[in-house]
Amino acid sequence: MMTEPLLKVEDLRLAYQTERGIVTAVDGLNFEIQRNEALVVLGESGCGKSSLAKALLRVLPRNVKHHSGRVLLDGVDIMPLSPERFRREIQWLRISLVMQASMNALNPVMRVGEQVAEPLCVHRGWSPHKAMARAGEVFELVGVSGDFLRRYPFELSGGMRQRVVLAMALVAEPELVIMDEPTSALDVLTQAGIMNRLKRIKRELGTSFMLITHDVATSSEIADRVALMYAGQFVELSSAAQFFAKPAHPYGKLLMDSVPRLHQTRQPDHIPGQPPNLMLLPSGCRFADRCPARFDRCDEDPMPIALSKRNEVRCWLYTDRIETGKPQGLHNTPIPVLETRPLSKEVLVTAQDLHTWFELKQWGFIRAGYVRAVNGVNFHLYRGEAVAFVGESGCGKSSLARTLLGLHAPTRGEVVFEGRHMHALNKHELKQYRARVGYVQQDPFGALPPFMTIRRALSEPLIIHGVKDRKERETRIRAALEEVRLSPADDYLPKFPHMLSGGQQQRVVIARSLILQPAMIIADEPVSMLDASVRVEILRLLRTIQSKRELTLAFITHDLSTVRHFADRIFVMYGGRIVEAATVDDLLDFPQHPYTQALLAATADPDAKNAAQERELPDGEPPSLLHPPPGCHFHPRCPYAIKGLCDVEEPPEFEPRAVHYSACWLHKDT
Amino acid sequence: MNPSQNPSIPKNAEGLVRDLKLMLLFTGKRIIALALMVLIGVYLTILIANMGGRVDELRLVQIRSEISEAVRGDLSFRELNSDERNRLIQRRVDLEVQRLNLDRPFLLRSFNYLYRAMLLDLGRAEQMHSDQGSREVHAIILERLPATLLLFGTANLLIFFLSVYIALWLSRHYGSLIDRIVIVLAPTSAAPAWFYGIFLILFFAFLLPILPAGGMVEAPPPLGRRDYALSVLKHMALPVLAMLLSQIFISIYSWRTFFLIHSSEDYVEMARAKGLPSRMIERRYILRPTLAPVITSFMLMLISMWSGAIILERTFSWPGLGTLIFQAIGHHDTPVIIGSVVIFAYLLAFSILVLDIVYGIVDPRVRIGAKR
Ligand SMILES: Nc1ncnc2c1ncn2[C@@H]1O[C@H](COP(=O)(O)OP(=O)(O)O)[C@@H](O)[C@H]1O
Ligand code: SF4
Ligand code: SF4
Ligand SMILES: [Mg+2]
Repeated sequence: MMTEPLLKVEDLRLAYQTERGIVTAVDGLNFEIQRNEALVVLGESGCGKSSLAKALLRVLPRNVKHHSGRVLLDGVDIMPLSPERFRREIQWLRISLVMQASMNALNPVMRVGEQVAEPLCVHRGWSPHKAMARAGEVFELVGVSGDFLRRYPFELSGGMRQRVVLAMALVAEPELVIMDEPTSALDVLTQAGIMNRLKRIKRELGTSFMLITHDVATSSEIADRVALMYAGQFVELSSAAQFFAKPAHPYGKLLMDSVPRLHQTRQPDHIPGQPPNLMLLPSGCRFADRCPARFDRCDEDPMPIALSKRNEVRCWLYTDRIETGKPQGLHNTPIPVLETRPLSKEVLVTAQDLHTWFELKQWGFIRAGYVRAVNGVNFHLYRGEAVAFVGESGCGKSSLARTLLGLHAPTRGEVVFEGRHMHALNKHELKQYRARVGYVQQDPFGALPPFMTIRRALSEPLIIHGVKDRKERETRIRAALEEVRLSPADDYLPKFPHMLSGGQQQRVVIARSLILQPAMIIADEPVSMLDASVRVEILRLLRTIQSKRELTLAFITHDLSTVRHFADRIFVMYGGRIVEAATVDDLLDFPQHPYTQALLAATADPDAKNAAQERELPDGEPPSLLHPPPGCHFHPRCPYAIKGLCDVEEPPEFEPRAVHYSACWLHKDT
Repeated sequence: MNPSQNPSIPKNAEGLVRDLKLMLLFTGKRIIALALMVLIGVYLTILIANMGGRVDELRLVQIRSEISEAVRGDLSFRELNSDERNRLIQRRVDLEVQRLNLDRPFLLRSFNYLYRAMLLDLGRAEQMHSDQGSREVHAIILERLPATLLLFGTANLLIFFLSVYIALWLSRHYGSLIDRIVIVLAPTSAAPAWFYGIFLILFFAFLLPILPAGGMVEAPPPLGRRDYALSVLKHMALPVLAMLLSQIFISIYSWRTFFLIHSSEDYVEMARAKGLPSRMIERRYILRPTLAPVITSFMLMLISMWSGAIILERTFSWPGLGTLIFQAIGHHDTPVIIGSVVIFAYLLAFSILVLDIVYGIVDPRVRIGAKR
């Protein structure tokens, strides 16, 4: 006999009243969470994941229109409880929550220990001293030293704050911890470190988790079961093993195929279309307009169909419980493999001993030091190649990009573009140079002027660079839109940026960067603000344009898993320097530098086995650029650090494999 | 594990000691900075006021009048005829001018003025004198200052606490009837305090004579301490009410909006999820993080009220600094005007210092940031 589940949810609904109508964000969910089980809720942004968390813990905004269903905690329905009883008996003592955007989840003027201890004083009536002692214990549990109890949030790094928020959620030993995108704002290494902690806590304390995320790879780190959410509903509920190996729902399949993987040669595919507007839901299957397997029955609303005891899917393909093989109609369209061109040997850009330092001022005029954002970087970029600069946030990638664009003047060293030294350019030549280099920013919405139509935004660079003929401008704008596949152009030209989706905005930004026929495009984290399903689409677009136009593409990212298919060479950056450089395959298959190895170890391909083991990770935090450690910047975290060498002398570049460079003393005999 | 044995938990005192040290360091730095600010401000005043030799002229006149008074008053010089007396006076004036270095270049002397101004040695008034009969400018000013501080201090503190508490309450009862009434009344603050003052005097002093129309205390002043205080309170009621009327609604309205915006911060939502009682959320998660800007805006309000002091004090014939400046302008009594400016600079610097210290106490980012 199965034991009573910890949490049993029946027909949970949550709807908001907005000016334009009613939004049903959570639309009749049924699921269970067993003790010591981790349920991952996976879905694109806007599908109702956070609303689900809020509905369970009743942290509701003012405009809630409808909130109903049964939520059985240990067999007792907690929905009818009065707000006061719910607050005293359920919140935090039995269910706790790690909210999305937890960077800002701590009160800036209260000591973090006090905030963690607070629920114990309030709910259990503990003395502040006793509660603080307990807070110290949970701090150790999540890997933060107790010394930080009396610190304020702004004194902690992002990763540490996230751990404190986690400690806060665990302090009263609740039976269920709901975590809403707990790591999506963090670095790869920090993120992997927190997932390690979560696995250990789950094992040792037997806590149940509900992890809400859009990141398939991260979700596989802890999942026992997976709920796939789409437009307010669960479309699939499976065990992790089953889901990550062979998802049943067409959306699940497409989603798994869209995940860029480190160790896979097949190109990731993108999911066409967009999720439906929750206010104007289509009748029939909500996924129908994106589903490659759609057939006539899909005009009716599909019911959840049980495939096995704890496995259900909401799709008409399974009416006859077909469990074998692919349901008919669904197959991956073969993806055209981009031919890999032999690298041209014509150098387009050279960076020589490039340094970009920012002066830090105290009291407005006394120099307090330098932020060494780019600190001695050398490379050649060849015409027509795509290179990726990979590194954690704050390692100086964006500053490097902005220096290459001529937006920062290098403190030392120089940039040579098409054989010309950039510092020697006069104003006019600099303007021409900027036309030769396109720039794609991280945040497309911020990059487009909000009160300009797309036509205006695209004609602006043309006007600035002296294209006077209106007809010619119009032709070029249309061609650019065509190239980024925004067609028909007439649909987009009169629109304002806010009327477009994030992916479409980014396409406009790319079109703008192309419109002056540049020789190089610099794309700074072009997809990190976009939804997972759109990312691959944008990356492939960039890659296609790059190879068709034989552009040089400098692609900046913190996510190693995206680079395999979208770059020819990789530069790994750490603390303002390049620590390893090689072709993509050589670097990913034979990483040489200890930092690259750590980064690869922390990057997961989705796999149910991930949840079983903890990853080997270096401790510590990325180096301060204001006071970088002497010698090799990685030495405080490096497991192979050679005493007396690594912490004294900066390693030069060695070549341990053919055209594979690594700045590490371990390779000094090569 | 017995928590008290956990070695990694620092004692309560440790954080406090660190904070106290930082606070002292911070306060020290601010005092130095503000002293510099006053110094520069007063020096600029001196430079400006001296343009066109106004101060020099003043001082010469002052020296001459002092000396001639002394000579005329001195019995031993009775016998001298007017010519001799004038020569004697001229000699003494020359001596005094030399002694005061008035014949030296202005730059040197300006530092001398600065030094004296900083010590509140503000010279002598030309026409005015204090109630005690002193002609020392600083005596005149110091006599009036407490009245002004009493009136404006009371009104501002009242406005501050009332509006913050009502605003917090309204941010919880957002959209209620009272909330809507406050919104409707907010524009009433467009009228200045003296405007309400006139109506209040009409109403409570003439039509319904229960409160005095002006002044600070009955004449003659009551003898008992309690009676005196009571009389002052009665006289304060109308001007305080006038200021309250002209400020309270806009101030409640703006703070209610401010708190509403801040109650959607992530950490407030987190506190709700933690199941904290709503009063605690208001106090710890809404009020405390926003206290710094709230206090700043309070201080700005106070400073802006200073500028309205002249008219308001005239309306209620309140014997404060405002009235003093008004009279000084009427009498063309420059030393008193300059002296008031100097006192004003001191008051301003003092307010800012208090503000800074309070800021440091309520906001750890300010206090601890001082170290870096
Ligand atoms: N204009 C600037 N002034 C001062 N510091 C800056 C400036 N731009 C970037 N930095 C600092 O440089 C460091 C590296 O930033 P960035 O180049 O943006 O790295 P990444 O792209 O990897 O996030 C950060 O510490 C950042 O605060
Ligand atoms: S019901 Fe039809 S449209 Fe919906 S997912 Fe299944 S096959 Fe696709
Ligand atoms: S140089 Fe030394 S510290 Fe740096 S990565 Fe190599 S072994 Fe590690
Ligand atoms: Mg960046």
